[in-house]
Amino acid sequence: MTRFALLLLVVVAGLGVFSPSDFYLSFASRICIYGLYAMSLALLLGEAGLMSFGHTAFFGIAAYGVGWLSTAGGLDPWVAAAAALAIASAIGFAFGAFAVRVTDTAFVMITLALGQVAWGLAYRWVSVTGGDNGLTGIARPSIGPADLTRPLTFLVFCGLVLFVSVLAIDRLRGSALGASIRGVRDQPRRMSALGYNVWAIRLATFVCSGFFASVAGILDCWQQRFVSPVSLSLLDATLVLLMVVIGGARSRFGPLVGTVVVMGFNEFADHFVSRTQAALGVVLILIVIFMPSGIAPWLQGRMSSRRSAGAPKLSEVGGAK
Amino acid sequence: MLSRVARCAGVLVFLSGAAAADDRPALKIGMLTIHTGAAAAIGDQTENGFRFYLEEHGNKLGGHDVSLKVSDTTGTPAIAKAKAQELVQRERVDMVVGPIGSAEALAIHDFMREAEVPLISSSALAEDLTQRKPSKWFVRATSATGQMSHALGDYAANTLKVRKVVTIATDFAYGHEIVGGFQRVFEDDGGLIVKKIWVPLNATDFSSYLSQIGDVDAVYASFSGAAAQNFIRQYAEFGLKGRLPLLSTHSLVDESLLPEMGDDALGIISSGHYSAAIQNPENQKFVQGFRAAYKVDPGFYAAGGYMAAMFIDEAIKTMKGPATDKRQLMDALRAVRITGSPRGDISLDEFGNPVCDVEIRKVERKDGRLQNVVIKTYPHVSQFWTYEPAKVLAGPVYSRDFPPLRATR
Amino acid sequence: MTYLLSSLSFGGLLFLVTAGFCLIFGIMRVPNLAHGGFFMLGAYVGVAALRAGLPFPLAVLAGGLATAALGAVFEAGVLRRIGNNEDAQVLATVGLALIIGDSILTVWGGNPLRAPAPEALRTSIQLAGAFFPAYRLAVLLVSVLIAVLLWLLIERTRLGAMLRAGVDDLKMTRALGISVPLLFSGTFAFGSCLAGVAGVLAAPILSAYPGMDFDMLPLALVVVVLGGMGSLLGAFVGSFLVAAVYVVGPVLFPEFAYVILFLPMMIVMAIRPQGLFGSASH
Repeated sequence: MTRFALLLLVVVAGLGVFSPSDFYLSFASRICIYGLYAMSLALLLGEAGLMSFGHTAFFGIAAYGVGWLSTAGGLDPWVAAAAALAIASAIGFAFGAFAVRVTDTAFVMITLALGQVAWGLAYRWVSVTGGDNGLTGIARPSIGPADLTRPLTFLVFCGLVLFVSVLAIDRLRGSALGASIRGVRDQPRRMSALGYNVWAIRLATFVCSGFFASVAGILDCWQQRFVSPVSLSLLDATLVLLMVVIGGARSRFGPLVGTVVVMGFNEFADHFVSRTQAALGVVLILIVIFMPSGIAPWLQGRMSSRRSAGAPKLSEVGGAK
Repeated sequence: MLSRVARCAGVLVFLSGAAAADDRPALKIGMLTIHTGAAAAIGDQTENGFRFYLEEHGNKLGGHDVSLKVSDTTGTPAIAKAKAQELVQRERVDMVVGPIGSAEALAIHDFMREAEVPLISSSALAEDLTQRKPSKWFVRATSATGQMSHALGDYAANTLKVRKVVTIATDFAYGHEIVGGFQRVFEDDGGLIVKKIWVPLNATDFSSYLSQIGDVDAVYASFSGAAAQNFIRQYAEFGLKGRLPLLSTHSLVDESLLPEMGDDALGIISSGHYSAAIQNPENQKFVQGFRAAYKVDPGFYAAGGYMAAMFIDEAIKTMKGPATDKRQLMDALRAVRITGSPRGDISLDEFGNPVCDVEIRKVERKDGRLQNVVIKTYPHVSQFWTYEPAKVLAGPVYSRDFPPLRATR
Repeated sequence: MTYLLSSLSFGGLLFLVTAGFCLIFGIMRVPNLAHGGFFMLGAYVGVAALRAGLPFPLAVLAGGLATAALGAVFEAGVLRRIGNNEDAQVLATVGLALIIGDSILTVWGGNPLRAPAPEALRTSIQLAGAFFPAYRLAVLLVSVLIAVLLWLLIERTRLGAMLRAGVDDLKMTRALGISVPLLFSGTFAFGSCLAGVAGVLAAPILSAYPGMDFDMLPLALVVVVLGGMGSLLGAFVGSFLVAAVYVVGPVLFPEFAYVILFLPMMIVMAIRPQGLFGSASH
């Protein structure tokens, strides 16, 4: 964890000093935001084994919440943010209670339905969401003397939020609750027999995961200073899922690696290739063939095999994922 | 693909121009367009139109060599913002052309204003960009949405003497605005919109909507791309063609779609600020040249790209200082007056929106292909039609329910 | 009347699209997110074949063969290597979908392409006061025919028995000496072929356009979920149900146009997670 903190510090400080333009600062902020989004999804996918296509609903509800409440609603941005978090979490709790009763494909489809319903709502409820034009003109708040409108200040803020969230998620994973989440993922029947409330554990994971996704949504609203229903689309849901899976859903920092890879690709690929979508497709397939557990586990594997070059080679964790 | 050949040609022209010593600084122009997904075709057309103008003018605008940096926004507002940031902050362009979609334009509107970089819209039609959310740093080389449909409302009520109309359009902002414009003038001139049917974005089957069209004199439709093609075909398949006149927006019968439509499209009356069939010498030259290069007539988007380049060219020609002075460039852009363009004469109103001709066109087969033949021209149309700007601005922007149906007032 | 005919004809089309997905998912447990891409590829290949002058049935064959070939190659080259890793399956199929989509854009450009229906079917028929295009009725008939053929294949042949065994219990199937890799390859190729055929048949109705892959995919997913994963009967019934909701829903409830499909789906999922005809083991 300290290494991660140091890395973040170095990157942010380095950008602050060396960045030739504000562009890289906003790009870094966006990586922090989507990194948090990916970590939240990884909590559900990696730890609980539940693949959700509907996390965009949390992201979007929170983003629209803070956006609308602070513009038309006239609330102070921090109050609006708190309210948006509360609303998104409440919806997450209600929906989760109903959704985590099923698993596997049924769960995917229910969350997909949630995501699509939220998306449709964003398009139709024009008086609140602005329809396909979205909400614009959203102001960033300030923390005392620090004005978040300045790109570097905002980047530091995002980095801090990311760090605190990753710390929290890490603590959760290492805790007894975290162990029980993994237990429920691997052996639900045994856990149930041992007296664990499988449904409650899954619901808790769902709500936590949704909470962090909502935080990411609020940050995104402030970063872009607009909200568009596209962030609720199936395409976006797939993109975040890709970030998680590419990086490695079960590894500690894998989703962040995945975020950097996917966002870096989306941002800079068009400087090198003309058909960026096809190139991304090829990259995905190559990753699947050569790094099936994700980039982070593969990197770890390489680093540890280099360290134990003399020792007999243990096979990587194969078989059941 | 020919557009790629043309692009290479453009690069060669640029390189040869750069080789010759020039004392005027090269202009860096950023272009936000779309190269991926369903809207890639219109993104390509816009870029082709812009580059065609460059090639016609030795890759110079206002005497400056042009370095064009094209960015793919994929049609997503968030990516449009990121690319706009990249163009402005990293590439340090002198101005930005585009983006294609109205939602994208709204997303980058505030940013461009704060960055104080000129933004020239080649196709984004959203009304508020030059009405309720105007920006000093924004100018449109196209027009506002309602500007085009107001005219058709007038034509339908006063020339065609149509009394009852049903509107059927894709359910998003562009659809709302274009129907709103038609409705306002049509109903104010005595017509009656019986029903406004809204079709969800990805619908491919229009049968259930077509069967809702009751007893009316005409249908006003707004669709684009594949939906337009499918709608026109289904209109004929379900027996409505020939029975019920079809009025539409320019997007339904855009020149890029006409070659694929066949006879089903004949007779559709639409309104727009451009048609490849406009009979003036500049347009004929443009259309012939564009056809030779790209094998298709220029439509709304190609003309949009072409006109954006022309706007920039004409604006720089009036400047005394260097074109790289953004503030002066923006003032020049806002003061542009164009005489003799494919679209005729154009001037700008105080909001940065063109006052231009709007044509009523009819799809006919001429010279062996389908064309939007011009049957009436409304000259010097502003975005407010004949209404008082202050009154229009005091009301809300066109939406699903505004204006309210006359029958319910 | 039009609503009924529209629902039926769209349902038929939806079944054709979904059948392949259902088979692949039922037997291989792979959610083939590239299925829409195969559908689109079939449509474009069909259009190209028609423009090259081939008669309609041959164009359908061309579309089906192209997608079957691509499916077989993909299965052997990529899917086989990743085995049961569900996350990797998502990555791989999404990757393939992106490649197919972008390739089609590069080759054919972005403008929608018109596919003319066969000459004989280019008219509209009058049925009980409603005008309806003959081609769509033909597609409905074809899809029912294919449904019947598929049913016969699965219920009455040895191959079908192997497929059914694969759906019910893969380990036992393997234990019985049936070559599972061959079964998988064949299934994937066949499912992709069905998608391609559906694409060609759909082209005269929908036109061939970029984005048609992701327009169709959510519908197919809803059908499979409602009908029950792996159940062809479920896919058949589900297709018509979903088509009816899709066609009639926005008319009756315009406010809910975007969510009209998903609300009923959520309700069914809550009550009967395995779908209407799915077996509880899934």
